[in-house]
Amino acid sequence: MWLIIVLGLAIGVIIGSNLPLIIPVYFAKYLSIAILAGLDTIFGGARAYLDKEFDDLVLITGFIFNSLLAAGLAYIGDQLGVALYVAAIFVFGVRLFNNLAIIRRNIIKRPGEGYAAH
Amino acid sequence: MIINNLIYLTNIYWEGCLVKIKKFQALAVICIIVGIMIAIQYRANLHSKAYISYKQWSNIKTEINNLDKQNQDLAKEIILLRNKLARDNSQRIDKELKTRLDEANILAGFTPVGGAGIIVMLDDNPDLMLEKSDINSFIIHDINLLLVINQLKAAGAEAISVNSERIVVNSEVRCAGPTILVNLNRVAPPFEIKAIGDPEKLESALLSKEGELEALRLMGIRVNMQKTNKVEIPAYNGMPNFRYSHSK
Repeated sequence: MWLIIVLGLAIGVIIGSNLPLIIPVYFAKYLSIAILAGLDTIFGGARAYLDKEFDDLVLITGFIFNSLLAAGLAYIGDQLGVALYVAAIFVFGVRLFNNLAIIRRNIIKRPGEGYAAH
Repeated sequence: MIINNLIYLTNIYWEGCLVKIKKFQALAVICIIVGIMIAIQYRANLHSKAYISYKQWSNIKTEINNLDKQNQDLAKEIILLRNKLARDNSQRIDKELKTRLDEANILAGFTPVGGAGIIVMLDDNPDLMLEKSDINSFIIHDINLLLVINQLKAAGAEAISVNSERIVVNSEVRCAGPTILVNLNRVAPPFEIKAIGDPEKLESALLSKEGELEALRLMGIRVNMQKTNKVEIPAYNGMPNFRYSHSK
């Protein structure tokens, strides 16, 4: 599980840094949101794995749908002149921290105990 | 025995791993995609650094200074070469002077010119007589003509005439009772404004939103525009008479 995540990210970074592709500055914002959505999906998957609820269909649909929604929100915000993409960043950020906290507690959970409240 | 057992166990372990990998294929793919995106984003940020260090700044500054100096040297060289060229071939100079004289003549309006351009006809509102109230808002004024001419100039017209009066550098368009004076000669409606230049450009300039022609149409002025390849514009019929200007 963790091996897959780390290896996958490493392979991706290696591929990405060797791709002869430079995105225009205009799209950097959209890509950053997509990255956040991807990280959110990954940590959500890890959390689901620890909770023994892992489902790859949920994972894929979540990744695609969240990315599209966030990018669409950012695009609409651009058209309206409102920084709507901040909403996506905020939501994904909060969820990232939530998932990470749950993963952390799951890992250090002592037998016979429920979740600690911190 | 032990080795066999070990192999068997590792086989089981690997099969378990494979099953796991199959189950987590989606996760792996997503991880790879996110990794690619992170790398691309990182590189994009590397390429668009908004802040530069002092060292970079001073390097760029010296580079700019060097290029400035080079520029100045090259400018001096240009002047030198130009002088050399001027001394070298007087024949070409004669030819060049001739073309420049022609250009100056066209610009000053001393020669009739022809070429592609546009012809605009403007006529007073035909309902003029029916209206008893304010005639002024239904006829073409000097300012209307002036604005149309100005728009044509702005669109790159090279020569302009109004009812065979060539517009030159000191042509006036002013109101004189019931008529308009151009080059001190009376012109009366219908006005025929001819301009030489890129017909498309001239037309689009005249048709522009909130342009003068739109205002004239609203006033009920009859506007007729025609793009042609053959516009003939007569020469300025006055003579230059400089009493105060001396070339320096």
